[in-house]
Amino acid sequence: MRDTFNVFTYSYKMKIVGTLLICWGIYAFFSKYRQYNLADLNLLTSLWCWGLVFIFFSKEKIDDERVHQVKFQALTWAVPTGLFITHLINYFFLSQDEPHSGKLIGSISAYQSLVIILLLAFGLFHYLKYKK
Amino acid sequence: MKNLIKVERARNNITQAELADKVRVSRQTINSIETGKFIPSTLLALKIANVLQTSVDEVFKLEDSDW
Repeated sequence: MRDTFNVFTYSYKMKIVGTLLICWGIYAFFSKYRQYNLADLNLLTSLWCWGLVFIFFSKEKIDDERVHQVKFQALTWAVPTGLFITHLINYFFLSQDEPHSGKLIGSISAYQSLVIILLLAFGLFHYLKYKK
Repeated sequence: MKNLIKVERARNNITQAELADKVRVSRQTINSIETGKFIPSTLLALKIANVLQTSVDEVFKLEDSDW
């Protein structure tokens, strides 16, 4: 009988790749800031996105069906919560122009939004894993 | 769903960690199943029953609230 719960396909070692990408993001952010005095959040979050995807969606050391269920549960809470946080940030900090002012309404980038969602999912996964 | 894993473990004299090792899950998963926080798949239930040398319906029992 095949185990149909085996859904997280990246191997455990991909977590190392993810961690390296996150470190690279931090390094790139600070080196650009030092060189050009520019806080490039898109560069940081684009690398963090990939890093967090590899960390979250790769197998755990002991990868059983409870871990899969907890990961799915963490995602079901993190996605709407992350989107809600994105809306709040856009509404309170970026969307200050009137809709008919002729200016584009500001919004955080997809990278930043995805990082919020993945960080929430990652935190919630570990919380639920040890709480349950 | 009620389960008698703890009783069967005691009968077989094996710990949660040993059972977890034999069915290839974490000890926390066995603990979650024992305390009723997690309901295992058919495959895992069969594996647990097999290791505990009994049948699935001896280890896992439906309760009225499950209907």
